[in-house]
This record gives sequence, structure tokens and C-alpha cells, in this order.
Amino acid sequence: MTQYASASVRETILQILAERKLGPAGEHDPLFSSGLLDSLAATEVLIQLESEYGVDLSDEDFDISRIDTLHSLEEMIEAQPGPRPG
Amino acid sequence: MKLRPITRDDSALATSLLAEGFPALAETTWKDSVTRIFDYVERRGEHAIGSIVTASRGDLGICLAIPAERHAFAQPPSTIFNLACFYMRPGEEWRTPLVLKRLMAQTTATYLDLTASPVMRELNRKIGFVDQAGGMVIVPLLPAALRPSPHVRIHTLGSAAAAQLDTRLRDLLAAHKALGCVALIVEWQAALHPVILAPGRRKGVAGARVILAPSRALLRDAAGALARHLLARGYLFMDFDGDSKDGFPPSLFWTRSPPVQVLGAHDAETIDLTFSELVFIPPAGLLNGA
Repeated sequence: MTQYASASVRETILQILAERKLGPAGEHDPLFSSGLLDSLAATEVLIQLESEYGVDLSDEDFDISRIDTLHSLEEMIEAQPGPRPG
Repeated sequence: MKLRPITRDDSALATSLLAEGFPALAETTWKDSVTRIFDYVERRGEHAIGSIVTASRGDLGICLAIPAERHAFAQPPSTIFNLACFYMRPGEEWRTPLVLKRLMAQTTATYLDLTASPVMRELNRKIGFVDQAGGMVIVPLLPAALRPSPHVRIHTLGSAAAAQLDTRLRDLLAAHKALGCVALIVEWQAALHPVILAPGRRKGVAGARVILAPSRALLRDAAGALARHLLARGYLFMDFDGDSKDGFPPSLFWTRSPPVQVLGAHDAETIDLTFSELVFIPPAGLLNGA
């Protein structure tokens, strides 16, 4: 079974999709830029990235487009130094 | 995605983005508002009135951040930023939370949002803003004017009472009077208090919103005297954010208006919305979208 570094935030996204009856998203499906998820969902994801994964959102180099697909999110979290939620 | 400070050189671009995001106001009105905010900010020795959100493909949005010092009731004085007129172009709205996080990087400041749309209110709450009050108390002035206000006197800036006020408070009142507000000195409980109201409208009816008052208790006790003063100047209601209309003259309690949302230190007892969008931008443009 695949072990995702982004398991916790991935769960949040899938839960939001389920709550809104939007069905599962593919690894490369745009979640936000396509309008599938809105700014409130983006807020949930960003807060989780900051609080659980230590992502510095005030860093000008942080590229928000990297949260747009589950695949790019996984890549970003893999590259993030420091502890991850178990 | 980057945030670029809006300086005087960006006035035309800022005006254009604001007119695009908030078409209820004409571009010329936005131009005037932007000019007024720059004039004020530059008098403070600062140069930026917010940020334009940019990316390699162009400008994505705008947010005004109007700085102000709170000194009328706050000791020591504190700095606040009124986040006003937040607009992201269609398709870019999902970047809103990151833009807000970047805008609010100055962690020691307090941030205010006075006119958030329902979506923006929810988003603000998620990132830590709190609603300062549960709704708006709207006091129709005609019945209120019949109510006595014992031991309350209203003084204007030109009166002898004004000379007894601290110079900074007098300057604060004068600056708002020059911006079109009603600036008063209210004698209440044997002391002089600054009170400022900004002109507004509800359903086409002219009224005035309280943007500076030491407490809602003063507004309750002085409601009759304030009503008589405001009625004589063409205002038909007075409103302010609060949790209850209890104790006021017959009033409405309106929960659908945008709440005053605050992030950072604040005193919910006082009302201080001075030098905010409420004095720089005509009411029709005052709704922040997300």
C-alpha cells in the first residue's frame, strides 16, 4: 500500500471532496485552479500545511500552485525538511 | 505569485483593479478614494496603501491595507491595518488565503476587516479573525430624539469644550471632519469624550455610523442628544456594531451586516474605526469579496 508523506492533508482534501459530494480526485487533477475546490478549502489545506508540516507560507518562494494537485502536494511535502505528522 | 506594495505611481492600476472588482462605484470615485488614502498615508510618512497581487501572467488582484494608529482609547497606542477592498480576478480566488497570510506578515499589528462578504467572513474566521460583535444596532433618530439625555451635552469642534481636549484627540476629530464625518465632543459622566460618525446609507436612507466612541454605554445614555444633533443635519438613523439593542431607544438589531472582524489585540468595549475604509470610500463600494 502506498505510504504518502502528505497522508494527513490528503485526508483533509478527500474529506472536503466527499462532504461536497464531488467524488475522489485523480493524482494530477487540478483541485483549486479548476474551481473544483474554493478559497475556503484552500484555507483548510494551507493552515494544515503550516501547522502540521511547518510550511512557511510567508516565504515568497512558496508556490501555491504546488497545492493544486495531490501529486504536486506530495512532491512538495516530500521535499519539506522536518518532522511530519504520523 | 508576489505581492507588490501599491505606491502613488500605481494609482492608475489600483484604480482600474478596484473598479473591476467593485463596479458598484464608478472608476472616477475609486480614483478619488485612492487619492484620499494616499494623501492620508503620506501625511503619516508612509508610501504604500496595500498590495497588488502579481504573477508572471499579469496582475491577479488587489487588497488595500490602510494603516492607522489607535491612540484615542488604547494605551499604549497600537498600529492597525484595515484590510479593505480585497479582490482577486475570476479563477484566482483560491489564492486568497495565501495572499492574506502574506499581507499579515507583520505579526505585532492588529488587522481589521469591516466589509467582508459572507465567504470572506468565513475565510477570515478560519485564519484567526474574531467577530467583535454579533450585529449592528440601528437607531432610528426620530423616536430617539424624543428621549431625554440627562447630564449629556454635545459640543462641536469650534466650541470652548474642544480646547480642553488633548491635542491629538482634537486633531483626530478635525481630520475626520475634513473627510466629511460628524466629529463631536460628548460631555458624559463629567468628562469630555470624542465621538465620530461617518455618513452612510441603508436602503437609500441617509444615516451615520459610529466609528469612534469610548463605549456603547455612552451611545445609550447620549442617544437622545445625539439624535437631535444628527437629525438637524439630515441624518435619519445612527448605527454601530454591538451585541444587543437593549437599553437603546426603539432600534433594530441587524445580524446580516458584515461584522467588524479583528485579528490581534483589540478592546471590544470601545469603538475605533477611524481612518478606515468607512471614511475613505463611499458606502456602495464597501463589500469585500473572496
